[in-house]
Amino acid sequence: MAKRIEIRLALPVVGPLIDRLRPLAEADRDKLAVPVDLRGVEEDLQAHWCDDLVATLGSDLAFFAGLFGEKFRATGTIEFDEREALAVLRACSILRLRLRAGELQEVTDEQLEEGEVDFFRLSEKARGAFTCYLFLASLQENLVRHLDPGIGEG
Amino acid sequence: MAQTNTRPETETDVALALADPWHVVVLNDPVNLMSYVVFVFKRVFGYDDNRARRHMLEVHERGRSVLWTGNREKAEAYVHTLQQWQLTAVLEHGEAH
Repeated sequence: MAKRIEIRLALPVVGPLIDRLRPLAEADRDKLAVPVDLRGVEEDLQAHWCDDLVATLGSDLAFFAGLFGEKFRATGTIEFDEREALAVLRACSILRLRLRAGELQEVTDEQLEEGEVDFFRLSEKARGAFTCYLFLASLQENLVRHLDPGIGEG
Repeated sequence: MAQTNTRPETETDVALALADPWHVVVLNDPVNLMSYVVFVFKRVFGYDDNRARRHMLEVHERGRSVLWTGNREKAEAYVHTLQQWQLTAVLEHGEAH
């Protein structure tokens, strides 16, 4: 039986972030987060390749969105097992990629990679998006460390 | 009479030549966390911490890393799996590294 993971989140802080992320998680479930490079992939495989990626993406986002229903609204907790945690990890990555491609376009790759984003220089819209971006990163990191305690941020 | 000497090839050389080596290459992206990338490498390839971290740093510092080399079918499967994990992975055909 897979171990259960329960995460308690500060509802007053995280609630508004989830409200902002929900449309991103619910829309475009039939579109990839980033274009994929299919060079080298056999032609007769390519259509099925993308369909399969979209199916996984849709499933991961649906699971993530489903975590923040009534129980979360009442208690601030989300719960899943270790197998489902993998979908949460992937969903966080999808949403971060979407934020990057959308509301965080004003931030450069270098700023993101080096963690040198001046929050107060961002537009109002980008500040909200960046806060969501950081929340998702924190969720991912905590999950990775729970699933594999030997991995630390370099 | 001329004598022909043939240098014996290793089994690996022969296998790779016959299998037409394909590389699974991961490219850098500014979004995915280092810890996440290491986790994915360990999970997908079964690499230990050191090897996964070495590849992650190579992606981060050099822009790319060859994670695996072998036959096309298996390479395609790895690339597909890495893309499911939202990493930028591509298939490259070439000489073994």
